[in-house]
Amino acid sequence: MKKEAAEKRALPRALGDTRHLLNVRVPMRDGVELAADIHLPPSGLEGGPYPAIFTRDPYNRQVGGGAVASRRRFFTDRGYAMVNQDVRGRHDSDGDFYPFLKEGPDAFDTIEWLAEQPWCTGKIGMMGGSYGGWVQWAAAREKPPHLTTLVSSCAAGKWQAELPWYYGGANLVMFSWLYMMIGRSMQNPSYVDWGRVYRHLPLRTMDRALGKKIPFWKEWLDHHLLDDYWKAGLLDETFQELDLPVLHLTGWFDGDQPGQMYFWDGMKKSKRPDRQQMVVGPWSHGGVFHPTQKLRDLDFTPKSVVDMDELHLRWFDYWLKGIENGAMDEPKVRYFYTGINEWRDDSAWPPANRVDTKFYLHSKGKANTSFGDGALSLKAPDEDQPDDVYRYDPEDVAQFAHVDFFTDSGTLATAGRPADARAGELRDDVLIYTTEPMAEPLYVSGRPTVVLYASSDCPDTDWVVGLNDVDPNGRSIPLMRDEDHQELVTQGGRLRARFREGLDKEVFMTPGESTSSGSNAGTSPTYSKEDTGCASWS
Amino acid sequence: MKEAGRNLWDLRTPMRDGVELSSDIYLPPEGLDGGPYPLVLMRTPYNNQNLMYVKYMRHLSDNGHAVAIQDVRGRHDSDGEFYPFHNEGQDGHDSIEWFAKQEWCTGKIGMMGGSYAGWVQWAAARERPRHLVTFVSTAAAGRFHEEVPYRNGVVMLPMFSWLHTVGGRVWQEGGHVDWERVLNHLPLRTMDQALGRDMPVWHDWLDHPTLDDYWKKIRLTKKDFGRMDIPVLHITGYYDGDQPGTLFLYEGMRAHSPAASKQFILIGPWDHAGTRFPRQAIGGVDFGASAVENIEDAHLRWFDYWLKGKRNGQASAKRARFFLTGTNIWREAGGWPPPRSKPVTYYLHSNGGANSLTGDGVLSSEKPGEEPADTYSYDPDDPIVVAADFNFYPVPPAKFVEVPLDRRFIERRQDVLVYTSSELVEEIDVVGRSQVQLLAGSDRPDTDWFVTLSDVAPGGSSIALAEGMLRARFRESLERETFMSPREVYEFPIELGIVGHTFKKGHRMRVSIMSSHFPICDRNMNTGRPIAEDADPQVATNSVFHDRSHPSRIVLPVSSSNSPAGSKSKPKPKPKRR
Repeated sequence: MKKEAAEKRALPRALGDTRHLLNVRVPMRDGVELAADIHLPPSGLEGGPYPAIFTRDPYNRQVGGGAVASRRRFFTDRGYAMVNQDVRGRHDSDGDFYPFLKEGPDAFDTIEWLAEQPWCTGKIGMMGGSYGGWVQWAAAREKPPHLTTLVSSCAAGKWQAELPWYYGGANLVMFSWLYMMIGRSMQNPSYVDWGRVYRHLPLRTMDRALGKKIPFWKEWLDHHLLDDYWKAGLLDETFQELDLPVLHLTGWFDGDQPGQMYFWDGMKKSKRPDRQQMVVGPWSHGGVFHPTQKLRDLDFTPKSVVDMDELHLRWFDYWLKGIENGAMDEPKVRYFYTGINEWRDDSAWPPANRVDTKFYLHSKGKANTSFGDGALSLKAPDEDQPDDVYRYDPEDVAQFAHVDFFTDSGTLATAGRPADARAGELRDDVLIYTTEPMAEPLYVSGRPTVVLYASSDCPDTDWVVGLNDVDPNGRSIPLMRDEDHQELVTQGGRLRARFREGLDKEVFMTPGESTSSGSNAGTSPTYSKEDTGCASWS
Repeated sequence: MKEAGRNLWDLRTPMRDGVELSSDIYLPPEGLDGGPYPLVLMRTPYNNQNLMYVKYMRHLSDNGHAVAIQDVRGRHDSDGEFYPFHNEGQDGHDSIEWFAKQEWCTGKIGMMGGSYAGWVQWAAARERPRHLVTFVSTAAAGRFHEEVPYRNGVVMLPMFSWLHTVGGRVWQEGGHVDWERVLNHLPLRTMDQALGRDMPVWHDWLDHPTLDDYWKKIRLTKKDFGRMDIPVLHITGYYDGDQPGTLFLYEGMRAHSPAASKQFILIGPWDHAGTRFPRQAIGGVDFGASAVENIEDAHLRWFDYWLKGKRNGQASAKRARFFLTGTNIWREAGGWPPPRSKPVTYYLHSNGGANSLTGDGVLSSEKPGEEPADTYSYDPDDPIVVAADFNFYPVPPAKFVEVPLDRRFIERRQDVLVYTSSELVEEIDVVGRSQVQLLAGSDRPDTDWFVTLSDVAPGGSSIALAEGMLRARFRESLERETFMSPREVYEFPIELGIVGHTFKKGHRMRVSIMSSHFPICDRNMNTGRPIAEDADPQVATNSVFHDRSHPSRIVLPVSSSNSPAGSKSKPKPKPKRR
């Protein structure tokens, strides 16, 4: 078929007052073309040059990631060019999609291409969340000269301690994610019988149970350790070379909080730790971009609803336009205390003035269920306290999540449901340890760590730990819950026993032996998690 | 794949040139083990994952049919390049024959889908795939150059917006575009630059303003129809923008196909989307609850009969089922148009002041005597605007702002000629296609004519029933341009859309004539210059004649004996001559 105007060029012909350059084809170093939409301020092409805010994600650049559609106009009206790109192999971009690990060069090439455009000042900031957060770090690692700053929201990136494997256990949410991503456009999960698919064994043929070939699932199964495949995606060796100013955003109920905190901690080692700021709210993964006052039936008051547009704008105005707006005079860290629903400013995270306090598990051997005799206190246990024992049957699991997390309308399946988790605490295979009522408020902020001495009659098993706030009415509110994917997916602590000595090697237990006690005391990375606890009852 | 459930996702089907197209398969509850099943295939450029389609077709898979929804070439998960309309035949053929070989398929394959997904069925059928048994063609495009993207020489600007939406592999959102600015841009040639997107297909279309081989290649011919021995259910609506295509294909099959007697048609009071998702009201007019026909069941009944041989009465059903607006009841007949419809001619009259609905224009069955012509100025810089929203594809949840079917907002303008009958003393059913013969002229070499037939109720509302249009330079043929000499009178044949309508007693019939219909249609610059390049609007003074030697008229298909009220005599509206 005759296809006229086939003259090869990246940019569409456009008139001077045009505010949009759509489906612009940006060439990568290997010749593959990626699609970007460029939205300009009201003064159009002729009115430039403008600094550029650049997003890339695999979720359709036109609507994607919560970052794009709703914010485009806000920033273009304030003098920024908004550039939204489909990552390689997704939507209008050519090439093949490769999840996570090959985004860096494409981001570098696009940034440097943008910087050369006549309408661009050459100052380029990135923003975006989740995958769109990760790609910023993948770009930063390549050190494109014109990348000026990042606003990294709920970014994934702590591979195997976040996703797709979480401390040794497959994160099944990521199987669904792969299902949605394999194809050029988003695949709708609404008509999949996930209850049936998730129960399928073995994992290797789960894609067949689904009815779709998913090669990356097999690839991930082949790399279930933190091996070189995943280490190549970590920035451990790179942080010290970076000098980018970054605004970090995450939430207590954000499933990618581990990744975002990994980058926050990593940038402490960068050349410019003084140019890092962070805001942590009582938000879910999606809430980091669009904060809501409520999660389930918890109300965090209007104070929790931060104006994310203004927050981004202030940062970009300072770094991309050089406006002295005091952005860097803000407190380094702002975080929200749930329980009392107050913001707290601090100069460091975790807070410098914290006191690490050990609480010990106690029982008379019957901590099973919330009606058991498990107790949590500051007192170290006596030598002769009996063990707590339960039977874990993989065919009768404590199910914390509704497997059907996808509704037709795309809303969270949990919306409006009670936050109270007591129903899950009634099972005999759940051990519950509860403190006495607090005599005065206890403020918890930072990363709690659990050291568990435990054993099994099997060579391997899983440990899942959650921290809840029990109110005077008996409601048990999880403080570490991934609200977008429900319950303890990445937000509770979890460890597959065979990985207790490191995620890069498997060490099995000897059945019947109390393997983890004693020898691992104090060193076990059993469970670590960000959380700001909150306690204001007496 | 024995472990699979009811679905096969992203199934890759190789075409003859090696390009792979992607389909999602939905099976009946018994899954793969329960097969084989007959298959109903939909091919769409609008994302086979769109829940709208999935929900629609699940009704079939819940009832014993396998369903495949395929992305057409170059769209969404399918490889290759999308080129609108031209590539679909072979891909349709190859897909059908590939599916027929799958072990879960009986080899009996039907197709369904609307609009573009209606057209692709005809493109496939023309290739005569052996396993294509039947299809349901809904609001199908296909009467190219008399429908889209040109309609009788006029450029349909929603097709420019459409090219924008399909201007990538995935749907391109249009919510951020200032469409008012873009669609007002001149010349058409650089409209894509005003938008900020390369649109090579737009340029191809602009390069083919006449009905030439580019369009003829994709129009089905008498020979094509003659080789299609296939039963088809045709679905369209009185307000469906692809009604010209659907009727063209229906009429072609009725006239030439060996399966002429197996052509069924369903016509409702629906707009384009309503042919798939019927609504009770359009543009402020309520057609009653019965307008919401159960289209899903109609599909199931059809495919149960033709693909499974289920004896459900489909074969003995009446060939045509159509809605009668005005009385809002369904009617059935042995075909469309119903044989009872007879042409009745009504003539335009006035004393030279038919401008606007307060003018002196009259419509009656009397032939005109010596009457002065009606004249108006058409200024391309002040066109009649027939849309509230220039964005034809708003981003959900935003909805397209409907324009009222009550056309008085247009008829109040001085550049609209309005001819109204006297109040009817008996009700009249008009069922079929109306034809206007316009005797008219201009002081410019070219201009446009738009004609609307409406029903005027005693309260004054003027509800549009059918419209037609013609670019003057194409009056002799769509294949060549013939310009006008100033002050000459020419005859313009203007075909209107079909109606099935009861004009009730006390109502009046109205014909209105104008020269612009923006932004649904491009504005004629009145210069006669090439359509694509013209950016120099000239005001035209246009005249419509109605005298003894120039009797401008409309011929209506009147079917009074079909009326349940049983009118006995031929209606004789009494014109009020002023």
